[in-house]
Amino acid sequence: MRVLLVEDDELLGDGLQAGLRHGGFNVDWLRDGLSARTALASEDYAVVVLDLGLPRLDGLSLLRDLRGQGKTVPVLVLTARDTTVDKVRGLDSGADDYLVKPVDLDELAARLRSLIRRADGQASPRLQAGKLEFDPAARRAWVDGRVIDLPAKELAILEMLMRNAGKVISKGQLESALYGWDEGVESNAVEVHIHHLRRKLGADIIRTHRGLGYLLEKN
Amino acid sequence: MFRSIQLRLLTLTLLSILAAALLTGWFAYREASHEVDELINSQLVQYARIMLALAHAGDNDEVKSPNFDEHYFNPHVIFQIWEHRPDGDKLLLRSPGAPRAWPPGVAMEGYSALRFGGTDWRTFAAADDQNQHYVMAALDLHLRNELTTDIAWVNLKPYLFSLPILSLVLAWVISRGLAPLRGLEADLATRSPERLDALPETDLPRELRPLVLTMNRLFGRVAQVLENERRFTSDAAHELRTPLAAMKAQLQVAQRAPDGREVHGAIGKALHGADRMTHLVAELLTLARLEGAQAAPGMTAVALSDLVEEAAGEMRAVAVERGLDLATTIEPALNLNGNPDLLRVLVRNLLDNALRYVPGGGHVLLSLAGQDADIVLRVADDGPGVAAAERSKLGLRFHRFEQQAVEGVGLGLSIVRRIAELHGAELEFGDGLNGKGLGVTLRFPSQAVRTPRQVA
Repeated sequence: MRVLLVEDDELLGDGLQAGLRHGGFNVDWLRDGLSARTALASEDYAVVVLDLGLPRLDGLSLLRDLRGQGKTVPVLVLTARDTTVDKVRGLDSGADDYLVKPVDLDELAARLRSLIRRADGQASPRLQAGKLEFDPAARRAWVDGRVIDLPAKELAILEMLMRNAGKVISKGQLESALYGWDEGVESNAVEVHIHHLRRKLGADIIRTHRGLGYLLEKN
Repeated sequence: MFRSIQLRLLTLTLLSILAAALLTGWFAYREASHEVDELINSQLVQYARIMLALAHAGDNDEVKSPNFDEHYFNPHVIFQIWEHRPDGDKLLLRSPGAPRAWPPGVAMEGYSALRFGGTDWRTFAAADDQNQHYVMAALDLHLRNELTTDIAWVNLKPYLFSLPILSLVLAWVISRGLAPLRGLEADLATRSPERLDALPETDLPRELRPLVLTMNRLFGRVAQVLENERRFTSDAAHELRTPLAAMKAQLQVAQRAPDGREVHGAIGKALHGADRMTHLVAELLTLARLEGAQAAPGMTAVALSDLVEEAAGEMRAVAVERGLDLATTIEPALNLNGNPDLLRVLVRNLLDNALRYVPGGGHVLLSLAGQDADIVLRVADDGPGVAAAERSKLGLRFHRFEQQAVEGVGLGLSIVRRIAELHGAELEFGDGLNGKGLGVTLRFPSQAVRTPRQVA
């Protein structure tokens, strides 16, 4: 899942990015409010982790801007300010969750998954489509109850397809799920990963729609 | 003596009234005794005249002492009527109780004092024109004393009787008068330690106004101090949480990293975070100590030129590491009265700041010079600088400028500012080198003491 991390502290940003990647998230890390606003205008993120004390444009203003534009992307505010007043102000400005530094990476990842789940309108933390099952927290997939071993990037692609089961997902969207893993994404990376997924899960599970993208059936 | 203003006012007022009453009584007594004296005197003269007239008119021969009924006679008045005879003066008439002889010590003419029958008398004696008869009349002075005391008492009585009522009335009046004071007290008593807003300054009695204004000024200062403390604590907590969060995140990354290289990298970053926190805590402690100080502790003669040279030497390695040119022009043998440790921190912080914010290839110039009686220390660079409008915020605690990839906690210049204050130095921010960057100028006024040549 693609996450936007906005944090101006080098060490913390680096740690969060690495930690969230281990949790199966695909993290874009920006260091100031203005760049974050630009990125949010053009890119789709499943969730945003937002520090409040940011250079150029502070977190709360960015949050109000975002909500003012009608964007509903879930935002988790991450800050050192821990008074009730601060929390209330953060939540009332449009935050969906609030975590005080220092955070536990596991808790942060769990909260992000929960935010994404709620944004998707899902009740169960596990994703299901036909004989396929996927646990975003454990980063595991099952076919007919049998665990299938998948590397992180294939899991990311599968997660995206399953979250959007029944809808056609473009190659570009799938590529965006891969951004942040490496510096660049090879032009045929998506095809390669889909190929591997088909071999491991069954050839008929992911259907190709020429010129449009890929589709995973709901049932 | 009195802890209560009300009791003090009441007591003093009542004592004043009592004193006035006693004074009135005394004056009344004096006046009355004078008046009564005059009355007695004129009375005596009157008696004497009547008696002389009677003696003259009566039969001159053998005037017998009449048998007076003592019940009809005022025992406080006595008299004698005498006739000159060649064979010896004869007492023609006397009142009962009067002596049979001329009382000794009584003058034949005019007033005299007489002690007789256990009481004091005033006497008046006179003779007729032919010098045939002479008389003596006397009045009991006991009467006079009684009268005088009565008059004085009558004057004093209203005061004394009204004193208890007056006390009650005065207690009420004073209590009413002190109501604004009690109101103030009530307002102060119900305040919590956090409530430091000003007391109302309108409708104040003139006597209370200076007190309230002074208290309000004090409240203002205390509130300011508290607000600073609160913000400092909050800022400090914020600043400490971020590196702590970074350390925790990095350590968690290390814990779950799949390969040794990533573990190593994450632990290295966590250690870097720990260093940063150590630095931050040290700066916070320095600042906390400096904030509390009223004057620079441990003031002594400091060889400033040497100190600055030394501090610059220490920072040179950092400059080289960051690819910066650090130049110095230091006038030798400048001395200053100050705290050497703090001055070293000051120079180091100024240089550290410049070296942090100037990008690679930039220049930093440290200069120290005597200007007239002042010593001027200046650190200038050709880095990105700080917009003129933003310069006033330099040295505010935890204020960092919008520059990414610069690590710092925003306390360095706060420390510089405080050390400058403690040394009575002026801190000024201006342009740096060649109209670019930032120049920080510190002017130590009237401090230039050049070491005599032989010592230098």
